[in-house]
Amino acid sequence: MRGASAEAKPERVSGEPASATFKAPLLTRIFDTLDPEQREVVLDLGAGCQALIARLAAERGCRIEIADFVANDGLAALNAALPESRMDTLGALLPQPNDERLTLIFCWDLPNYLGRTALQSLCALLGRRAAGGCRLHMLISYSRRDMPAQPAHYVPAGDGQLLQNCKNGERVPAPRYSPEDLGKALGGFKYERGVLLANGMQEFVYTWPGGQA
Amino acid sequence: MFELGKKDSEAAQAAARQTENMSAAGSAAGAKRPGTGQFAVIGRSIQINGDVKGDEDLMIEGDVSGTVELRNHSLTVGKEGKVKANIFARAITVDGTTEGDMFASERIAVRATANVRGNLLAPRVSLEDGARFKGSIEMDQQAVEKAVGSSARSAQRTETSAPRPNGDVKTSADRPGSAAVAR
Repeated sequence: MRGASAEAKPERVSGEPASATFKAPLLTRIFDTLDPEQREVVLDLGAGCQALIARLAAERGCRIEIADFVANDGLAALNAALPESRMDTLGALLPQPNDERLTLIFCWDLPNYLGRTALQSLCALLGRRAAGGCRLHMLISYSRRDMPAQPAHYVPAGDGQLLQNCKNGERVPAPRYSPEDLGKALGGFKYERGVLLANGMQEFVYTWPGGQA
Repeated sequence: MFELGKKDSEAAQAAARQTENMSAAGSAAGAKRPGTGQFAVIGRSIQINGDVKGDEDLMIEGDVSGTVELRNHSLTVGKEGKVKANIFARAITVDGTTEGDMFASERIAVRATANVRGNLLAPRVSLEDGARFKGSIEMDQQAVEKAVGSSARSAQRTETSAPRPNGDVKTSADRPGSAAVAR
């Protein structure tokens, strides 16, 4: 692992709230290669946004589940959970499932704010609901020395760009995970592809084994 | 069960007077939003435990637990409104807090001030930035028709006998008590 420890509390420094756009080629590839004949079941662990709803639910008839881990204290619950109680109590962090399994998961920025055991719990939780071949799209801080103190909100902005909105300007040391450490924490999800982005974040796609979703 | 828009005029007038008296926010049982038709209001001080049904538009600023069914009309949950219920309507707009599933034959709008937990099924769904939402969104025509249709059939099955009150209405100014809410 580079930089800050996965379990250490980072030192905060002040700064200005900021918004910025950046290219996310793997996300673009996911959107471009969605099978029009296949109904996707999408889980966004963030706050959700109209752009995703329009693109996936309105245009393609996908089911979208939104967990909003930041507003619903999901990060705190994962970080605080005791190993023995994890799966029983943490299932409620995700929206109530129907009889369909997840085929696409967005986990943008959140691993930067989870300890290793919490991240392992999250991945076990996701694995319980993932269909074979389910793709997990993830963003983490990587090459920059600091990152926002709170997870940013991300909105697809067209042209393969993501808009990053940081609510306050506080920043903490980064990165929290190297790609190797992240891969180890992700349990059953298998690495498919990773790209270092111009803004210092790393974009990953992992898949849940078991064939095409 | 609370039947909106189906009361005889005397009962409606009495309820309207009562609701006007009960309203801590100064809202009336019937109100008019600029540029729109009349709609009924469940005021800020009113608590309803039971089923709310009606044939007119409704705004909820109080607390409602149970079910809300306005098949051909619009429901607005105002900023002060707290609804713990499955909601069936033509159009639903949420500015306040809801817990439960929403089914709309036209659209659901979750505004920036809203805090929503539940599943949303409608041909059109909008989620404003800043809204707190946990649940699923389903806009697939077949899934929506199936859900709205099955919920409609299930609601019809519960209506085989004549409508009668099966819940409580309380106000913060006059508890305990009960009242019909009608315009």
